[in-house]
Amino acid sequence: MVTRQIVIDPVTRIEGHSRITIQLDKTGKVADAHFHVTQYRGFEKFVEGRPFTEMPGIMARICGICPVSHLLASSKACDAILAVRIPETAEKLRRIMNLAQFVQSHALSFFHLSSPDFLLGMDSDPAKRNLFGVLEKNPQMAKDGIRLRQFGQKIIETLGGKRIHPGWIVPGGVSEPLSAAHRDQILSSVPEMISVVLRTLDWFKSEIENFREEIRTFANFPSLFMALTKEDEGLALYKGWLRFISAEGDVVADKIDGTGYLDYIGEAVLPDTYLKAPYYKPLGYPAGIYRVGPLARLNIAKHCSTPLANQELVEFQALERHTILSSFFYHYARLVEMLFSIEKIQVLLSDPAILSKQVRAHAGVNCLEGVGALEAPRGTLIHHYKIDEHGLITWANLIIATGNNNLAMNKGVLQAAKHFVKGTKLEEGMLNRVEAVIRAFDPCLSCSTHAIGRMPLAIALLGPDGEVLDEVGRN
Amino acid sequence: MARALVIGYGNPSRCDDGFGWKFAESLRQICSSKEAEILHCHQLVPELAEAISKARVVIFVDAKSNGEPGTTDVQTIKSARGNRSNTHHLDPAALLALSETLYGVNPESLLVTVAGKEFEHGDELSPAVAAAMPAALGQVRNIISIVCDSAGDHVFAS
Repeated sequence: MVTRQIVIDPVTRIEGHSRITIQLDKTGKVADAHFHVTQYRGFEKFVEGRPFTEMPGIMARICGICPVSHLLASSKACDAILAVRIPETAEKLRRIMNLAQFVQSHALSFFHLSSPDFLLGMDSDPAKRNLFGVLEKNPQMAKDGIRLRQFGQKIIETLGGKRIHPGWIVPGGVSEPLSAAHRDQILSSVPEMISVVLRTLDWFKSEIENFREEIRTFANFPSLFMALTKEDEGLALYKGWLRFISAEGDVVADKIDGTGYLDYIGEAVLPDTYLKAPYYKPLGYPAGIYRVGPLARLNIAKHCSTPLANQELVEFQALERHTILSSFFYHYARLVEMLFSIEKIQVLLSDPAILSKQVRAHAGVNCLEGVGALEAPRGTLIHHYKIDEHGLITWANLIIATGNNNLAMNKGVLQAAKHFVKGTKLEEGMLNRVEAVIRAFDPCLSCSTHAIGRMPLAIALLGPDGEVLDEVGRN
Repeated sequence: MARALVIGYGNPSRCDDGFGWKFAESLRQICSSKEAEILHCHQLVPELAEAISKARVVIFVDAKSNGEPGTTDVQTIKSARGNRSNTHHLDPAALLALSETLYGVNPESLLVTVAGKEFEHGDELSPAVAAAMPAALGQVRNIISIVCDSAGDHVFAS
């Protein structure tokens, strides 16, 4: 019988607003735990009636952290409505921007939000467990994080004209070609960025042994994994079809394309959160729990198309015999993906065709429905629009990376709470570990509820009659 | 290297919160890039520390939610780590502290704030805040001129 409850409110070092409640039974043991997202926006509804050509610009406003992902998914959905094949150079330029987004977003998660836990320890003084604490302990790492963020943001700014909400990606391609000067400017930074990520990978791998308990208890359970894949089964971030694999690594659903996702992904609406809970439809809710994002992608990819990242992928996959189930390894996977992204940017920019002026296909409405799917830093992102004969949106559905992980985050919080929460008083290390489970997924709650605001997280502990026994919050 | 760095920040989709953003756009019309580097952004992020480390004087421009709408306040900022460093965005003092710690440079700094009235969805400034723009631009334009004319002296009284 559930008798008491802990509330963590707000959760810190994530993007958006959320809280965690932990239910205790009469004996003081954790009986249940939930992750609640407390912000709401409703983009799917208010875009109805807008011209579909406005969608990339509107949807990018969902998030100031990863607007590029929404721009790309939305533009891909609009490409489908136009029924055009965009020019090859335009696709490569879009890929470069997506890869730059991966670098800056993963760098934010790893260096700015999570590295304080790795460097200073989960039990360290929370007043020092931040960027300045990292600066004191390892100034080079703080500088490295800033350099990687700058690299990614500079590419986005160079290609799109501005860092946040660039309007350069348009239905049919991109609006402007790349100049040789800008190409050379980006390429000149690549060797330094590769060395930064390799240095960080070496350091992180050397630290893994210190986090055995977290590895064992941070959302470490069997689940399905979903990501894009492609014909050669390599890591796919921009183009491909959806694949689900089991916890044992077997393919359970494959070649899911276009509107086919509707047959495989259901969305449960939960009473205590604005974050919807997608699930694998054939197994139903909640048994159809699956994970997306860096860990899922590296579990599904058979190889990377760049040499250094491929070498790291082999080492990463050797962590376990089959799939890697601990969500603590999302952090490790992010580093591998950053390396892949930088190498891939170099490859794409080294192709002389990247300077082609043919970067946009023009067409009118040719289909009344379009789906755009790609991998965002946090996982698979799907935009699906229906329009009328005038090109006005009549229906929109968004399946957001963070939302895909909702069931897994909830289960992960419960697992960590059962392991770390003892008694009715929240201790700092206990609180931080429960938060850190969420942080491993790097949720972007602005995106996932298509909502507004910062993302502090709070934790509360409630008694048998709903009385709050303890509550902890940080902004 | 620009001698002054101006950072206008806020959310341009939230009416008066976009003051800093619009300020930066307007300042570009009356200041050359040789005189000042002018940036606009939604929030202050750690990456700005490098740009700060290359400036002699930094001027932050923001809107605030308290005070008589349209009133402008100018204050000097000293580097301080503060308590906002737990997230991915920082306040001006923490950003100066980051520049000082990472790059050993702590430039003189001012924070220019205008009290806003409307913070709901919208991309227009309220009349009171819009009316405050010319005077604030003039003030900052003058400060940039002083920075350009001075040679190594302190620009602001402490």
